[in-house]
Amino acid sequence: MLVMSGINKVYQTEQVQTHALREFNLSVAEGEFVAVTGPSGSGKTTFLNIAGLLENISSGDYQLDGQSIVGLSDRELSRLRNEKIGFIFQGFNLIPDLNLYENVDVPLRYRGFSNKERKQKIEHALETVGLSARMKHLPSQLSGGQQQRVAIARALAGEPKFLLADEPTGNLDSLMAKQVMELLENINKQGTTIVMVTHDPELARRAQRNIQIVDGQLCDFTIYQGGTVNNDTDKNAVA
Amino acid sequence: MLNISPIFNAMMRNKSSIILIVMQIALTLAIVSNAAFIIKERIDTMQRDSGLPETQLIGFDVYFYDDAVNIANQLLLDQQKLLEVPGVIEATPINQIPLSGSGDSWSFRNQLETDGAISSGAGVFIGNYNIADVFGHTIAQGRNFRPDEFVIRDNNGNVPKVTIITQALADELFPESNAVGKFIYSTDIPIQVIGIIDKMQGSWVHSSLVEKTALMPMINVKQFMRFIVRIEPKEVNQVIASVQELLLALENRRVVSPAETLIEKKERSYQSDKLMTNMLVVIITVLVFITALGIAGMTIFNVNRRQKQIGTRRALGASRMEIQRYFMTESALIAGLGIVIGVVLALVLNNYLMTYFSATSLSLNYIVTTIVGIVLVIEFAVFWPARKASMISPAIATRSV
Repeated sequence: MLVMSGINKVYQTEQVQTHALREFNLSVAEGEFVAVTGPSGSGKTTFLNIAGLLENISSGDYQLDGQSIVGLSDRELSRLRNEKIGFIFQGFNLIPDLNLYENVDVPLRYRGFSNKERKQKIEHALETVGLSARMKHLPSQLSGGQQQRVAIARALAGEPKFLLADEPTGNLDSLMAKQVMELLENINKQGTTIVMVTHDPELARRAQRNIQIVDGQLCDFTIYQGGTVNNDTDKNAVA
Repeated sequence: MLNISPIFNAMMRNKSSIILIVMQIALTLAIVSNAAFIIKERIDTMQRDSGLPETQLIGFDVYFYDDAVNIANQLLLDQQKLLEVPGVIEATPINQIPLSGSGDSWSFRNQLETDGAISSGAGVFIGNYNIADVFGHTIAQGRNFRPDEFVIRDNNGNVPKVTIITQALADELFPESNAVGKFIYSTDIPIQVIGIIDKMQGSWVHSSLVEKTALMPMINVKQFMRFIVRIEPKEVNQVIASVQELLLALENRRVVSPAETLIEKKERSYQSDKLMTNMLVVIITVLVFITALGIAGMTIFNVNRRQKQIGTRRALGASRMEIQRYFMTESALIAGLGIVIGVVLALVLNNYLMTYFSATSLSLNYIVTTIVGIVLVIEFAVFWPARKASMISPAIATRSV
């Protein structure tokens, strides 16, 4: 689903050059649920931005669903993001002036679906997250957990193959966090690949695979499956 | 993809942020369309054909302060001497100078009896029998004055028996027949229309009588008189420079004002129109500029306020072009709301101007042209902020602050 090979990301200012990712290699198979952890400033957000096609790479190759993204135009990258990737942000990132229906509609409009198709997909997505009765409400009328469920519905509505979740429970209390995690697990069970960046080791443990980024490199590679723990300290490991 | 409905819905949930700008656009449309209409009307008025060779005609005042002067004889002598000046084509003493803003008008009717008569006011130009030639007129119908038809009116009550009138006056007094040969009446003395000229504007350029003019072969002797002189174009300045000295050398018990061309007199008469036109142009420019600044400012504010939202839209699949189009569409919708209200306000304002300031009915062309202008200015003003929005990185969506 996702293959990163030798990726470097360098931020250049007039005086400072910062290597956010160095020779970064990672492969995520279709249907996997991968948790990405790491200390602040380690490069998690850069990894997330690159994986989500939100930032360009400085060098290396990145193939998403079999297609290299190197050299693609803004329009092509936007199209790929829209079709292949669903985003779940820590701060939900719902548009406050749009109601739930319209929020979920945003990526579908960019895709160019017909009114009928959009309506069907929006209603289905909101039903999946249990908010179909509140589709005319504004985000400000919902709790944090409900808002994140709307964000998940928005990410799911276009039926992407790949969900990128950035601290999806970071702004939620433990009960809400549990509900959101259960939702993500259900989505993954239905075949959607999920890469989740998190600070929370408990949540990371619930993923099928746990990777750690330190100083812009894939440092630790751990698999949790049915309580079995494997540690692999080989840097830049490729699953 | 235009996304009009979600943009509109989002706007409607934030009415307070757009209401001022919508009203600003509406007021701009109402004022600009009416102001543009007034400007066009004033320019048309100023550019009307006066029916006179304005660049060739000069006029000046003569004031006889000594009762001992035989004014009638002196005026005829002046005329004779003026005609001897190189470059002078025609000259006559006269009661008023066209386009000058000062003069006489009479009321005429088309029959002796007042009952059932058609009457009209007219600017009456009284001069020597060559008066039509001085103004360079061609007699369109009928004939010119004869020397024997010229009368001098002092205290003997002489009045001319003939007149030459403009087509506009002829049409007013005799709408269904040819005026030549007919009699018109100011008192109970018949005055025969012997000729018709196509066009000649009178002294008051803003009067409804401006095109209704009559010429009469007479000197109405008064202390305060005027002269009108037609000159070869190349000699105009030279004659203007010498005319005062010439007349005072002939008779110095009088005051002779500096001569001016009809162009100068006309400019003075239209000074208020020109001033108003210039003021309205300034008002239009300032209003449009302020409106453009307002909507550009609002868009810049919205772009800055919605950076995260823009980044999120980009992350969800919006291309740069789609982000730019979003803000252009939003401003177009705001402009559209302003325009709907503005059209109503423009018509209300025009109605007010018609009721209280005798304005004419606003042509829809001016509203349509103003709408097109405002939309273009607004979209131009919004283009750069919208472009700035489109350059916002989608990566901003993942920033936690």
